Amino acid sequence: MMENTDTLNWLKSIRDSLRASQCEFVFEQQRIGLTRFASNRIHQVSETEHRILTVRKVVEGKLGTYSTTRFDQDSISHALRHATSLASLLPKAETPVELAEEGHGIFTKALDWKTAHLQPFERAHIVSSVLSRRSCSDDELSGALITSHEITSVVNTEGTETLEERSTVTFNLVAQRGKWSARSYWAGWRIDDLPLDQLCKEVSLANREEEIVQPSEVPGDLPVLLDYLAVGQLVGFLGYIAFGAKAFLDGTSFLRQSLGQKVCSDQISLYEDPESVIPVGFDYEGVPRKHVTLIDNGIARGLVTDKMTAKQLELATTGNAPSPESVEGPQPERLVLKPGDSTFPSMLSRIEKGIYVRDLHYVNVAEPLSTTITGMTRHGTFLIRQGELTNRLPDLRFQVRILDVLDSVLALGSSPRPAEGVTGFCLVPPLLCERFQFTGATSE
Amino acid sequence: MSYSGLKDLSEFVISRIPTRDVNYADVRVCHRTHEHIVVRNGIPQRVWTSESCGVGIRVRVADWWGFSGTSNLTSIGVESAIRNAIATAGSVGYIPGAGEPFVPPPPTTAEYATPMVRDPFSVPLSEKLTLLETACAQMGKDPRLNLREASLEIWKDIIVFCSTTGSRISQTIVHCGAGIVAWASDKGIIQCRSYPASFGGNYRAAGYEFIEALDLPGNAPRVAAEAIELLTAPPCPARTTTVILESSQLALQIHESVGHPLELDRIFGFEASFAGTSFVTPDMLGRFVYASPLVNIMADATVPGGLGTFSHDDEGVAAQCEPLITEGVLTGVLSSCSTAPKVGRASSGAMRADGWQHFPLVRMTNINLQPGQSELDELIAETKDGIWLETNRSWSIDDRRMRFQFGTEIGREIHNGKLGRLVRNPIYRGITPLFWKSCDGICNSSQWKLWGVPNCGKGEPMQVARVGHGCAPARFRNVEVGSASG
Repeated sequence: MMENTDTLNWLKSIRDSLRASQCEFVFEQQRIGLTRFASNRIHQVSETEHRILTVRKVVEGKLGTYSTTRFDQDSISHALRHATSLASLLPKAETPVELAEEGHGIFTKALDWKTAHLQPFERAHIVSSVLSRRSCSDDELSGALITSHEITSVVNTEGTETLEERSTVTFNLVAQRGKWSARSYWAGWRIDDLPLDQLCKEVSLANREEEIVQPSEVPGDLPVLLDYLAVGQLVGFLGYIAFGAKAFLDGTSFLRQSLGQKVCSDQISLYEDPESVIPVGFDYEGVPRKHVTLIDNGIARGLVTDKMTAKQLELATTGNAPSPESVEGPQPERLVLKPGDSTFPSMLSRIEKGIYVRDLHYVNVAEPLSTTITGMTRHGTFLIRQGELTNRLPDLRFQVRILDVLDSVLALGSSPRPAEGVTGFCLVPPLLCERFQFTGATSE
Repeated sequence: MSYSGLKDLSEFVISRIPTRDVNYADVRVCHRTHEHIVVRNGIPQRVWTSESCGVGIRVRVADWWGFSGTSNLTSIGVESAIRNAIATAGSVGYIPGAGEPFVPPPPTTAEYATPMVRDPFSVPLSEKLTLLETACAQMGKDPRLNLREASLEIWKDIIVFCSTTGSRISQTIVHCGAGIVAWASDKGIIQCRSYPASFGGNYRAAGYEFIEALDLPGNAPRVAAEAIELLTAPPCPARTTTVILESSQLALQIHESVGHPLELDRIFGFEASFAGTSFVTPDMLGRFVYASPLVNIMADATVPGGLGTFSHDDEGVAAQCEPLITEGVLTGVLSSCSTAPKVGRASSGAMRADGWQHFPLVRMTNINLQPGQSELDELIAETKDGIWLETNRSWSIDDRRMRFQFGTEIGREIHNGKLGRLVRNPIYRGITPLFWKSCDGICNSSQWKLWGVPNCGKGEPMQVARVGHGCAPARFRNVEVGSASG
């Protein structure tokens, strides 16, 4: 990996040597370490180093983009020529592209040197310590520990010069016992923060050998307690289908009709918070990322934009320009669901009869405008009786309108945790809701 | 980098592997060029070309696999990657009991290139843009059409493989595809129609002639009209009925409920923490009744034009045609040189990696349902009461690939052997073997079509594979259908 200041200086020297106007250079450098394990054994380990330079050239307001992994002078000149010819061939732009002027600085808030340089044997040691825990001794453990060291720099001819260097850790842990499984997940940027004890304890506890109850009919009209993994999927999909500017402009987002209106329970506040989980400083146009209120006490308030969509909407960019590879347009990447004041036991104790859902699987959008999604529950679905998790249920198929679920919130947990979203990470608490429509069970 | 430069690089890398530490190694030098063009409402939204060149080094130390990839192709970068690969293999042995069997393929020398008439990268951008802009324009200007999109995507992968057992395989694989979609909305209802399939259209291992033959502009008016017609169509009524799946929807059905569950790494639990496992167990091979006797499904990496067509997989195993389901009985699986020996078989040649930067995984090739005997008209005429479902809109299946729910863009009721009224937001649900056992009619080869799925995700971090599925429309009895809009 090139050092961060070397990277920025190198990129500036490319810009200066090419003497081109209206162009931007995005350099991404990534070292990823992966240790996957299954059935209590490591089965896949890799170390990958990837560097890619993207040249964005604006000609009369039209944008051509070319990415390359070759960095000699000839290859970079070729990339610029190609981007220029792409841009030149485009028809007149309705909304001319403008390069950002506002980005300056180096962002290293999420950089931990130890994490960035973690070696394969160190990851193996961590995985080994998980596999040898007594709490998990009866389970078959699978998962992945992934660490990375990433540098992203954006330099353009309009004065933007930004660099971001970060480390990341994600740890996915699944325990299986017979047909049953349980899962924990964590994301952060410092390996020493990885809460191994907690994650191991959770999968072990969730794997209690309870008798399974095959529901005689699809459970309905019962309160449902969604744990953080399930909530992450729920709000992740909401962010994906509704809060990106492209969906808004295309008319596939409910926001088009509902901005400024009440769309769900006033207990719900949802933000794009670039400081959360793994802080991010700049977007891929070199624009500083902003905190954006998406839903405020149940009222739809905003969406995320890049420079182009912001201009089309006559708004300021929120600093959510995606990587050049992305086809989705600007998307929320750090969703935060404001926690409530309930502890998990207190939410559980108020349920006389209900259902606990740990995680959701293979979620897909059934109808975007109504925020309808379908999927399965996974890694632990339990019947709740008299305030306690009792029998296991089979995995259940659901089809819900996300906004309906969020409109029926009874309580939110007080302790948010990192979870996977759809286009980034989420920080979410468990959520107790009155309505969550199951449509079938996985009886075989 | 030139073709000969890639070959030289692969020879250099393999020559630097320290054979005293490593009992087997293979090297893949890959150069990928990718172009993606999207035109929305007649205006180009994305014109992006990328190239990525790197080397993936897989080594075997004792019984342990290690892997390293780098785009730093200097001698320092490559030497560092070799050291990393060996270090990763060593870390596997940190936990007792680790290790996988491996039966290396016989040494092979081969060269392969996707047959094509017109290299899509040589087609001028202006020609591609004109095609997409015309397709958008042909969708019309009805105010209810809020989005008209046309797109095309092209990949060229040059893969040079060499191994310490002496294999030298060079492949140039070109994939391309295109499609259109119209989104219409009115009075709080939103509907879409796509052609030739959803999520980008259809894809083939072929040249630009494939994109031209799709005739996007010619199909655009119909697609737009159907999107508008769906706005006033009633929701699909909930009931249990007979379903006839159009072939692009059936392709996805095969993908999710046959292809994935028959990946042997999933069967052994290697994907338990992410993509999931499988309801299939090794002891089912040769005896489990997966489908009705009409159903014959092959994993065919040799069929011309498939996204899973190649001469050798990423372990250097020759492309094959493996029967997966024979007259309804499970007879085969998708496997690799490390997983196949565990079930007493040879690799089916299904190890594939997403570029140089990933460890190969067991993936689908072209999972094809063999054609049956029926004419489509006959199949519909014989159906007293049912529904025709066309073009995927959503998909979801449980982690063991047993219980699924799919939605399609369009449904058309069948009454007394005739297609009737249009219904919107149709969904259908089922349980994999019960669904396939209910298949009582498959159209003949005149309706058989090869589809490309360019976005099959698997692995951590996610690898995206391009795979193929050939099939003709087929009929299934007693299927639960309903509406995605409730």
